[in-house]
Amino acid sequence: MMKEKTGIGESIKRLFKDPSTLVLVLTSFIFLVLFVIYPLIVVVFSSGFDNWWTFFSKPRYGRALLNTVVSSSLSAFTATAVGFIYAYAIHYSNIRGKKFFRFIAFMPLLAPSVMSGLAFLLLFGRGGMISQWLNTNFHFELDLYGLPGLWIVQTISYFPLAYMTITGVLRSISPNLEIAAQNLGARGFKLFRTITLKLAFPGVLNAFLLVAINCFADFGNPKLIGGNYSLLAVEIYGEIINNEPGLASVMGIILVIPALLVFWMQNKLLSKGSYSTITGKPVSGLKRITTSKKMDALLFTFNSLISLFIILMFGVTILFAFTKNFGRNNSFTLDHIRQVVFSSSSPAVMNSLVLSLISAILAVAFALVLAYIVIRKPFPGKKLLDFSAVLPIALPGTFVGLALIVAFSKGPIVLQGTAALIIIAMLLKQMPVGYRGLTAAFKQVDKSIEEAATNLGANSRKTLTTIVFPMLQKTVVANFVYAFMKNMNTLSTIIFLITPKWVVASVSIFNYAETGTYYWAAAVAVGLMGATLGTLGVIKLIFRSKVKIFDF
Amino acid sequence: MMETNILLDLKDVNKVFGNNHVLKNINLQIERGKFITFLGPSGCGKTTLLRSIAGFYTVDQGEVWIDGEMVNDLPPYKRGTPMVFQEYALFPHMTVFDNIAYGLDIMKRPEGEIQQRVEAAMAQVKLTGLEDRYPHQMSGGQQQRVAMARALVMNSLIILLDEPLSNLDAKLREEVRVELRAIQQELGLTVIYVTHDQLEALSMSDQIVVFNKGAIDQYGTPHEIYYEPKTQYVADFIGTTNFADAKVVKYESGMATVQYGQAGDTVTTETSEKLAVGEEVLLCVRPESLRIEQPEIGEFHMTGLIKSSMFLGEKQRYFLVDEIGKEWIVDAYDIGKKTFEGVVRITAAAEKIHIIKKTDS
Repeated sequence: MMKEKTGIGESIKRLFKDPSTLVLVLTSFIFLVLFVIYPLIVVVFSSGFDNWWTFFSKPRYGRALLNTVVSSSLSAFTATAVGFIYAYAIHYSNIRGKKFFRFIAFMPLLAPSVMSGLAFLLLFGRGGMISQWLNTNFHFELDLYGLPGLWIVQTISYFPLAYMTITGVLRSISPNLEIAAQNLGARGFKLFRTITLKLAFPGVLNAFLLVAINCFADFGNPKLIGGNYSLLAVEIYGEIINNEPGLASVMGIILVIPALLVFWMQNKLLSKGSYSTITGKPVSGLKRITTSKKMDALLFTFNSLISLFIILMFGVTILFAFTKNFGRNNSFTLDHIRQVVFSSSSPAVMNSLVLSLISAILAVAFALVLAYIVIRKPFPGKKLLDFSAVLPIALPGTFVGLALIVAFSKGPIVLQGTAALIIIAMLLKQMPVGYRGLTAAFKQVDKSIEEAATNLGANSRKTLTTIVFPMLQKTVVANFVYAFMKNMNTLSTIIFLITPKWVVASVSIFNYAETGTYYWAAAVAVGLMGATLGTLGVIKLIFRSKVKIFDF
Repeated sequence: MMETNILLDLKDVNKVFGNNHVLKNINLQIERGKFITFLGPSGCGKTTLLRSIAGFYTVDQGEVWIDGEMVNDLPPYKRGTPMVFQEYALFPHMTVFDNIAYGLDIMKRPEGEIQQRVEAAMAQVKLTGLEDRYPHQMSGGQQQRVAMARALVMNSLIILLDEPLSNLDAKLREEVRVELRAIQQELGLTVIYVTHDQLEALSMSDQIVVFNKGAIDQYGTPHEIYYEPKTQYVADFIGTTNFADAKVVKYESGMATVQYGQAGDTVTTETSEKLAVGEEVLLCVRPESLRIEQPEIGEFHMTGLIKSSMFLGEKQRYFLVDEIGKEWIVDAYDIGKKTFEGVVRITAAAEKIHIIKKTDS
């Protein structure tokens, strides 16, 4: 009986017959092993037993861990609740201004999350606008430093993430189900509780977990607003400054554990599927009626308040950036912008732009190569490659930065202080997102379409350039835009990696805010947003209507 | 090189997927200008063989020769075997014109020639005027025509079609069948057409290749396949057939006398099989070859009881049981209002009886 030739030997033999694929596979392996697997191993080994002992014996660290768990759970809960109500209002009610509300929820993506912290300080901090006003008029000392302030800021910073996740879920719920429930007599809160919420629950839980692990490892806002309320990420920062990489590694591992757990749970959820995937065509001509007039009014008020708060945060930042010293001297000036954005001695915004662009291009290119070889080419070790390509998605930025600095500050390869390391860190965080998106897109390109091209005489390079890439263009550009925006705004990932020469804007905002030079912090934030918007504008000009950048 | 009429020559072709032996020692020669159909149920290997000819699969054993050249090691893009895919596989980001021109673009033909050839191909499939449409703006039938034009425009020696009509509705399918056959004959194309639809195979082909579990059961004209099936499998797969056990009582130069039924009736008919006296064989009679009426001497005949019948438009189909409990299907054509009931005689002209050797399968 004949048998197909299989096994590792056969697949290696096949790989050697296709040298271009061989090069792609080898390069991908080397890169991922060097920058994902190797740093992980170094971190685990450098944590060391005595450091674990120190961590568990000193109450200071225990408190930081407890604080981290408490604050991120609280923030995740409120951010998810706000995100849900906000999304529900947009998708289920008959309120006006839905487009405006969508835009508002998109705005925080344009700025680093630490800008929320900055704006919060400008409004509610010592000497903040509202604190001052309360003090002069009511002799009331407002002190929100510590948990309360952090809670508020993280809720606002992360509600857009929850909102977007939940929007996806609500969109996927077929109106048919609600129409059917109405037809059976369910209405009002009963309908909401038994159908909508039930169907949305897995997605809402997912949003909660996503926000929680993001808060869990966030560095900027806790450092800025936490005060004495210390969190793990802040402690790691301290240990890196103190040159205690072992202790930092211990805390880094503790940060990673819940993130990996959530990642694992998500994959399980995904593979099991959820109710909301069972849909049909909407029954034409029927519309679900789900909110009463009174409910509409409530939802509208809620969304307006949230929007007002976000506008206030952006507004106060802009005011600080363009006045001499807002609140004390309100005269208009461009000095701050000139000094921290357009001066050669403060290259932060320019650095952000250059590094983010380079890293985003590389991330998408790498994701494209990976998706291509994993989906279309047979080679040994595919599972391992896929795993190490997706893994960084589960790792908090703080940890990625930590692992890179621990692994590449000494040992065989030293990259500390180079721009390359910053670019790699950003790339590791964004490449998996693009990789996932492109893998999905690749799977949607029917194999027979590629075969049709081959059949008509196109070799594999021609097939890629004339058929596959044009069909993937939308996904590629969308992922590039996303990666670029995230790179521009990241702080946690690169905080350990920057040097005076390669300081970036988000770090600048953080530094100026911490030292109290608020107008400079605000000016850098405005410069950063300007650079982001300008670049997106250029991309929009290049691709015109082919790409939807502002998809809100 | 010797000038020969054989365009495609498959020698001992074998293909294996995992433990699944999908193609078993396929030997087949296909002449120029013929319309050949690969027929069989899904999973019989017909599509695998087509894809092996196109080069999407490399054969594990044996040789594929196209126009006197061994192409085993030729990648699909060098084989010159344009294919019409079952799901059409049109390029969604290109207009109809660009879709059809794609292969010529790859060949770097001059602009003017491309223009002219694409227009000619579009006229052939009656798509003139739709050059600037995108695939998603067209109906299924139009998309199917684009897929055909894209293959026709290549002016290749051979065109491969993989169940190209299976996504069309019945009426349209019949229309396209006629057109496709007309185009093939007009251009003198060699076409290999894969289908599981026997009617499609019978109506369009010069030759039909019937596949059975990765092997070729019979290769012949539609007439041969229908009336002189080599195996029970072929007889069963094409149309509806009555089988009856019989025994050879006399065999002489292509004429066999067989005994069937318990009564010991005999019938003498022509056969291409080499038979031995005493051999157990199968008699095979098409329902339309049987008549329900009074018998005449020398005919194949028996008594049957009509169990049920159904009106199928152009014919009435009867289900009968004979004296030994064997079931028979008989079709009566052009019957008007007359239908039979109860006990009747079933007869068939002797030349309509076909003998099949019994196999172990």
